[in-house]
Amino acid sequence: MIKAIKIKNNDNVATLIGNVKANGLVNIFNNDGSSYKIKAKEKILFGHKISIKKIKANANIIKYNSSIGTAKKNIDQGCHVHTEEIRSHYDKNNNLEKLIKVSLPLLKKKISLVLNKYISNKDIKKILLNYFLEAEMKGVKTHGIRRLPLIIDRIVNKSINLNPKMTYRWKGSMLTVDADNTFGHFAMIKSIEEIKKKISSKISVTCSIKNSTHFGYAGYYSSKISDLNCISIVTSNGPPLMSPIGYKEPVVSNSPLAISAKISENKYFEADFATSVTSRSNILNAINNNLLINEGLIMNKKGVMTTNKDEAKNGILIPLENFKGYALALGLELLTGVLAGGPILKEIKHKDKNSKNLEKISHFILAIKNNNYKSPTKLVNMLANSKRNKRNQNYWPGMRKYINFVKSKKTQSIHLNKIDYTNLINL
Amino acid sequence: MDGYIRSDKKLGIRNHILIMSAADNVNPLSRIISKKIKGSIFVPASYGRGQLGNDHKNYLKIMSGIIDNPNVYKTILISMDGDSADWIINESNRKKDIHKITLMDNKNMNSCIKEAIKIYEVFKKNKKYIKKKLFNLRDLVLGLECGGSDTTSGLIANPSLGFFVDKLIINNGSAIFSEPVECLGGEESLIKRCSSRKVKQKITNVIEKYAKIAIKNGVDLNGVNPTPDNIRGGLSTIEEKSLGAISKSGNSKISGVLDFGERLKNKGLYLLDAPAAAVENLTSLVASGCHVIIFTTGGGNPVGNPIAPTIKVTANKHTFKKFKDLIDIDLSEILETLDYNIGSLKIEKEIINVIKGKTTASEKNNYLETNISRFGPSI
Repeated sequence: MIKAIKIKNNDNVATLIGNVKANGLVNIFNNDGSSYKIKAKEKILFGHKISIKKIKANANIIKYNSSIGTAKKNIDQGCHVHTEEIRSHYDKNNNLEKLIKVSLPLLKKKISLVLNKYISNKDIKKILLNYFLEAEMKGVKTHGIRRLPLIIDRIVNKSINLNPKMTYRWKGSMLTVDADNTFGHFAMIKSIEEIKKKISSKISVTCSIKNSTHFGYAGYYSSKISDLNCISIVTSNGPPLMSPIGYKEPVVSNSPLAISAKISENKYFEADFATSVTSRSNILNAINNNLLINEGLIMNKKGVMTTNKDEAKNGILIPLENFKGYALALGLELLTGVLAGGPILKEIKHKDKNSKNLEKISHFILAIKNNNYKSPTKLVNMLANSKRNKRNQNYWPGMRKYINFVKSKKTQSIHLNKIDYTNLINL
Repeated sequence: MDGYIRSDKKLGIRNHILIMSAADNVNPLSRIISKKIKGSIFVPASYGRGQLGNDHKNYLKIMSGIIDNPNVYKTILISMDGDSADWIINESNRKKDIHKITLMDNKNMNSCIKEAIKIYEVFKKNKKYIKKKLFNLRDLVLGLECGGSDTTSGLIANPSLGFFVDKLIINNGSAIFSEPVECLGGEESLIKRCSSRKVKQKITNVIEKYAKIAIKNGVDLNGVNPTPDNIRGGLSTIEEKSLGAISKSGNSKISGVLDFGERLKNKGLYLLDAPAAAVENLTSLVASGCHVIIFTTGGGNPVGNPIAPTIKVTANKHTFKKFKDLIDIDLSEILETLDYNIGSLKIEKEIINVIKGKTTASEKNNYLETNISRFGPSI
């Protein structure tokens, strides 16, 4: 009698070692040597697979106790299972650099699972969840779920305060906040809530936050503030990562600057960028994925530009237009660390993976209301008419984020970087 | 089973004396020397000159890794200039086991040859002073490789090998499997077996890396795998093909990922980041410290490694007949009994014989080769 091997107990297909005719009997061998008989519904050749159970359409085809694809249709017991019946998980997705599609509720569930595991404070969890969901919906990959493993490392190292006692002090239209070393995201949202309470009676508000940690991307907050009918500016400092060419050590952080105004519901003008040519996260991503590092992005410890991966790993970021970006970053250091009275430049310690250092960085918010101010609609409309080639379809800052957001809201799904998503699930 | 104690306290199962070229420009000289000395092992250089950055570092890591392999007793390193040799020596953990001969510092080619022969004779005489210790399975670092796969590979040869690997790991031995590119589609089954989050991430990254290299060079891995041949043979998807290849690593926990050229420091089962082509892959397994390599094949692949005895296994009887002088174990009978344990015992028995000194088919027929992967251009 023709034999077939069922390699692992959970498998729903077995592999034939002999040719069987239609209606022929097949002896299915388990990996412990026991066996049982089934009838082949059709002719099946040596090396090909036979279904040993009923398999529903879209269910997994299991061999080696792993999915080798999904069923294209309902499959009866005893059928030939091959390319006509199995769809590879890579079928539609033949370019692995492409993203994998994940439904919004599933992503929300996965992020919540991770947050629940490490954080008990409900308020913090909610704010972080909203932040990460929106970052991914808007396609801000460098500051989305890719950052979660880093944050978890910091929680594990206890270099972040999970139960902060934040303090708020008003003096005229200036708000000073001590964030008590909590999450930057939480400190920012709580400060914005505090601003919201008083803004109606004021023309403009400045807010200095000290003893905080990395807050993600600045545009998220500047746009939240512009919901209060304001034009807003948000910036932050951080540990030194950047210097002009020729410097042998990093001097200043590649601080972000975001300027926002609300156009209409969910639609924001959002000029948001860091002061270096590229981010450290992009450099590390290139190193991890063995991609080339272009000239002009990073320097070695001798102050010379490098494309070498080992040097780039601990290299010094190069500022936008060299001295101009450097000057801008130092200007932002004035607005953040100096104004808030927090640590500045080298005083801010690096947040290495195993470091127990508190980050103690400062943020700055400026919210301006003006009676003459309506909305940037005119500005955006004028930009729409600017002459440009087909590749430049995003004509106002923030438009790419807006389009991503609307699309993911409509389809209730997101295309995530596969590595980022796998790392999230493994947390 | 005797193990030979090396200067770094590791145990080897062979007492090889290598005639190694530090760079390709002295390959002819080393070849002449090794032909004059019966029993020596010739390790040619692949390039070694004009290589840049990481490419050059990788080259040095592999060359010094070969020298540090516990099966190697001594190395006579032939070089044109002092530097090429010193770069390799600096990377080695067994500097005192290397004798350097440079063309530049010698009178002429003949004096190099004479010096090499003289040193070899001294080394050979000293072999009898090597201290021995009982070699147990727990001392073994086993390399796992498959090539020229067919239906029988994923069905019989690889799972039988996996069965043995599980036994080896339970007994506190070590094994290294490689070819991340052939894990594509099987990541999930690997991730389930990882010991920590960091290992999970590293495995995901290393598999993606090869997928990206392929894509960058215009190869659609999912489009070419399984091949039309594979499909005719019954393989339906790339996942199925990869899982068949992965099954040679058994079900044991994966303790970590080794970078290309990295030496194995701890015990356990490791994935090595190295390209899949057989000769390069065997060389990198040796540089990471493997004593013996089990090489499963379906349609046949003739090659073995000169430093780690390479045991060739097939479950395809036609292949065994055709390559009889190059293949060690025929598992085709398992197609009848369908008992992986029998296959694994056959493999175990052969490994023990080889540790005891039995020469493998590729050793007997001197079908041995090394080569070092390169990832960048020369200037």
